[in-house]
Amino acid sequence: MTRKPVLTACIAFSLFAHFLLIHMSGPSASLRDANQILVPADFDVAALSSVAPLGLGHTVEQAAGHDNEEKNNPDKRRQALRQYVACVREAIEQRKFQPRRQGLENLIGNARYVVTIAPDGSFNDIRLVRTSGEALLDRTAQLGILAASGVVKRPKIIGNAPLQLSVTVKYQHSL
Amino acid sequence: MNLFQQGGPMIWPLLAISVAALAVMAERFVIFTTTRFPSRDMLAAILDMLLHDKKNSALELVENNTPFFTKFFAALLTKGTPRQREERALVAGEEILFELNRRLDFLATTATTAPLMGLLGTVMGMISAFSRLANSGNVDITMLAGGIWQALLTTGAGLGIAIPSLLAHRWLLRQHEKTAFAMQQTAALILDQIPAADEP
Repeated sequence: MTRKPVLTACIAFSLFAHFLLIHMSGPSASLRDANQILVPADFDVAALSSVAPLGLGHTVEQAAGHDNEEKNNPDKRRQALRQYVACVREAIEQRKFQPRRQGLENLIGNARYVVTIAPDGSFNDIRLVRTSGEALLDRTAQLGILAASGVVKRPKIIGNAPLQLSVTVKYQHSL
Repeated sequence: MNLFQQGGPMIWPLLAISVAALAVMAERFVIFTTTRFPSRDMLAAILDMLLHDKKNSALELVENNTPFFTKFFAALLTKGTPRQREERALVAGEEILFELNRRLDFLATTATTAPLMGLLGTVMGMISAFSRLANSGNVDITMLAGGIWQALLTTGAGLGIAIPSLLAHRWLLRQHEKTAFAMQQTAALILDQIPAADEP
């Protein structure tokens, strides 16, 4: 029985299979783009309402102004990211009734979308990840997100990597 | 390459074990599927030849079809008392079974060790994630979640290695037991039907 050649062939096969496995790994979107910034879904919008939108804008711009010296400061970068996300969510919240408020009086639901924010602040790849159960609400929320696209400028401190953000648009009797 | 780079230091020993385990599984699969014990029909033909005093033809048939078991049949058909032949067949059979059992222990060890190694990697990753979190002085859920999912990669890898290893080990062990049982049955049958054998 020729055992050694069999074992050698099997080791070669195993190495090849693992080589393929290593190069095929990383199927998720987050892994494909290592630079992409992911913002957690449970980043509460309500908690951000205490910060005035204008104030946020100022902070963001200030952060951008000190881009060079602060680039290596992860704390400030994180803070700028939080503020930027707050501004984006606020902008969506303000435009969530598109094209009009009428017809939504009797509807309640939360539509969750994932959007990818480009370096210029525009929204790409708007995907519905959890429906509200009402097609009208889902559509209205999508239009609201589109209306908020590009409204808030991205601070330079958070870099140019695509930013993936989860947004839940809540509707309660046209409120 | 991302998953492996992000898995931490324990991912590399796991990768080495995975390569070895897959190689052993493939090698054992080839060995077990190419060294099957003579089928029922073939055993009937061998017995028929032995009853007609055609020991050389019977051994030739075994050698042509299942050469791995030639030594076992040769031991059963050597000259001597049934007791002596049984002892010789026992030695030959044990040698064959030892050959079939080779590297099965490695698979069993892999099935046990891989999840533990994965768990160790996860614990190391968690320690690192929480340490970074403590040092940053700022509770950031993204930092924590990032550390946790990276730490869990090794547990996933460990389980991904252990489950196929365990399944393969059980299957190969079952084949080993079946071969041992078939050899035992055949030895009893031949010693019963051909009580006295001359040198082939």
